[in-house]
Amino acid sequence: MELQLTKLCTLEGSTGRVWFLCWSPDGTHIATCGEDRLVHFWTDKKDGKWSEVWKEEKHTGSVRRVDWSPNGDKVASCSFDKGTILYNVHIETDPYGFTVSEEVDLLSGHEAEVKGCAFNKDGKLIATCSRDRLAMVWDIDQGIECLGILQGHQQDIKGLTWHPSYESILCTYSYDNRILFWLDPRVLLNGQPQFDEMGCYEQDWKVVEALEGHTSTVWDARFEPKRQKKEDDDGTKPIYGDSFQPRLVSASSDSSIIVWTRPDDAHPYAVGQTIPFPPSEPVYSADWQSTASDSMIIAAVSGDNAIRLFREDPTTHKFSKVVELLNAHNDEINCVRFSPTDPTIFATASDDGTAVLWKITSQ
Amino acid sequence: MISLSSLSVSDYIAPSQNCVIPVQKEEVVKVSLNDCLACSGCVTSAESVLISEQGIDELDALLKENFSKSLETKQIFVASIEPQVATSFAALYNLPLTQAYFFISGFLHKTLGFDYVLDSAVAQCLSVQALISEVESRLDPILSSPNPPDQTSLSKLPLLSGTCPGFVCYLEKVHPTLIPHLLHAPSVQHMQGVLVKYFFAPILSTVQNIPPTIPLQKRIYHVAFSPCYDRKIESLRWAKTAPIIGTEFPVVDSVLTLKELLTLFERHHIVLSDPQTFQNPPFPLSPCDHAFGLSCILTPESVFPSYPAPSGGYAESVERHLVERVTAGTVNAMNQGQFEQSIQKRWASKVTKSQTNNALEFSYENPSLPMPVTTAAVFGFRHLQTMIQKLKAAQRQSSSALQSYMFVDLEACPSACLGGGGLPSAVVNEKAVVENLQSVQQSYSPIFADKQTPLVSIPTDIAASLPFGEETSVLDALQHVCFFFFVSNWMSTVSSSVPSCLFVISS
Repeated sequence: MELQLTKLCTLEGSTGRVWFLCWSPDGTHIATCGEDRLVHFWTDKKDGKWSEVWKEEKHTGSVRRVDWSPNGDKVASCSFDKGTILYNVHIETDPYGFTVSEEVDLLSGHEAEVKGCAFNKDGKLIATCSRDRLAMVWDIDQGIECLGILQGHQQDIKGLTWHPSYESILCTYSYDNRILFWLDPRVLLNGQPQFDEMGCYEQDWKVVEALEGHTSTVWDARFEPKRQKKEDDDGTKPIYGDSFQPRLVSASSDSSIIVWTRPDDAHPYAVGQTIPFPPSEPVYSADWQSTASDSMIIAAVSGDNAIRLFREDPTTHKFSKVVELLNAHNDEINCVRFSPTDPTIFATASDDGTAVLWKITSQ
Repeated sequence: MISLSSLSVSDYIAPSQNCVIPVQKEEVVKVSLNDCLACSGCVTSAESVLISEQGIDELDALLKENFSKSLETKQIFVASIEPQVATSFAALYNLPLTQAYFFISGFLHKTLGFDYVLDSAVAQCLSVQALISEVESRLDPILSSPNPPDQTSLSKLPLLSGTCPGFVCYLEKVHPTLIPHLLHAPSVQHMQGVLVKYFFAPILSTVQNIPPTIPLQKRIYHVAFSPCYDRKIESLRWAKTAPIIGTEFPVVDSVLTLKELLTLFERHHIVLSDPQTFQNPPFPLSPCDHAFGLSCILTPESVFPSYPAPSGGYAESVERHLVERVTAGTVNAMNQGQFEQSIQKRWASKVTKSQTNNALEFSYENPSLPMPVTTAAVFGFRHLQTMIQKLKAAQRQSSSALQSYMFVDLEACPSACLGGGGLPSAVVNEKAVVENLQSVQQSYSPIFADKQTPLVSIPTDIAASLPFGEETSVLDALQHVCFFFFVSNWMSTVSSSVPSCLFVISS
């Protein structure tokens, strides 16, 4: 079955590079951010068009990433101004209604540009990472508290993502070519706050796995979403021990994406498949989505302005290229993210100043 | 010196991102401590830079060179052991605190050839007292008013200790709007440096009748043994921005950590892991040098004059002093036991949701007071981050729960200086050592606490020419003997709002 890409809509209105985008959990809105120091909010007008509904101008530097909390009520943006801003957002039932409340919180602990931010599953934690080589975890539920300062990368940390089933695992990726998995020390006491009886030390977040396979900067890493079918999510096990071992796809300046697999609890993640790209083209972003036939699709974007789709073979579980759209944008593409509600739709953000929505169709 | 503005830096920058300095030239640039202080890039420099400039190799070379110098030009080597170094050493090898001091002192004297080894006890007391008087003076409008403080007074709260170089450097570079909260009172290391160069040196030169060809301050090479690498930066800042007119020398010439001290033992083939080493020491043990009263670990029964708290007991001392002050007129005289009980010690729930000894508050509540007297001791970069977020939110929204704290002792390491990066990891990680640490600390005793100034003794012949006797308070002595400029300068900075005399931002 041949797949094809159709451009649905171009989001125009940013000046300068669009660094990143994220979807609202209900799939009705997209936030984009970029060199114009703004966070733009766009909404689906249901007539095939998306339009800008809100603009936030609180940053004083290039805005590197945005993330939308899983319950939809918060958006975070992080910037080269060293700060991360949390916005309370409200999506009205009226499809065009959208507000960002004035109550915003600013997180400003990093010493250098903040490169990434990510909410955890229940939206009570947010993690940030920076060129200062640190990641920080913040409890933002009823007041702000710093929960951890994660020290271990040797270079700029480009981004982070939370493990979908082990909620106490945070994954970071870096200019030092590595992907690290960190364990929240609080789970060591069954999720209860740790009382340091001795009063002399507190547990740090520890690296539990280091994924080494890329030979240059890792720009993006995404866990595979749970498949719609055969999932047995009892959600009770907070640490390793869950039966679901999601694969991870990572995009790197070494002109490849790697699909990492973890067969079971006893084995660490290992390279499952390396998918090469044209030499000297950095891959900036990748994301995946399950299809109706229950095989996975990976979309990846790179410095050659192209979008490529890879489909999983249901028996060998290897991915092979099924779509290559050259010149999808007029400049490098920084980000690709699937819609959370429609597995056939994804969006890309580019240095050409636009974000574009795409639809996968089969012939 | 170029440093990149954060707004102009692209995400795709190619050169090494360890430091912003190497981007200016293609060849390898040697980064010095001064570069690190002047640059607005990373906050603290790489440990390798610190170690290469103030390290044991440098000390070895100086000691060797000194051996061949003539009597007139020989340097006088003075070591100051900070309490957390001796405490950690005692915990590591399961010794009483005094024995740890005696062992280190013996090694420095007999094996390395130091002329004087001091224990920083008087500096510890003076640092606490300086901080107390600065807090009192800055809070005077609140403390002397019968009414609850207005928003302007509250916005200055809490005052934050400026004795941790890691915290102060971080605040200056990353959160300069919070600098007005910082106190200027010197740390133990700085206070000890001043005592060595401005009190000890002149008296020593009189006593030993040393010809003044070279000022004795310059002949003294003062090494501080510290729990922390950032103290190396602190010592350098003093040298760069000395508050005393005409000063050309640092008050601390080199800072070595306990880790480096342990390497020195190793280099001299002293095996500390062997219990025999402590039963039959390879060198004679030695008390600390009296130094006209600057040290107190002089006999095996000596106690260290501090609260049994990891940072020196700043929060406890300030709390006691402020409570004494506000209750003086309103509450009938309490006996000591009642006084102790009236101060509540609890976990600082305004800082963290988890109960921890790294965030404690001390509070005295009395309905007749306009506001409760509350101080806090908050240790570790994680809680420090939370504090900073809340303080910055208070600046934006003009109020914060933290404004109920009058003073917070904020230190960058968990367990304050007893969790310092210059201590072996066992001190913070191994349960047995941590347990030892607790019991060693219990041997401290706040003998001078916050009210009594320690006494120093002045040799009879010098005392005869001074307006006081042979036993006198160290502050009086400093002020009269040799220290007038420093004391007056220090007192005046206390009430001003400019950044600390110790930590002036270089522009």
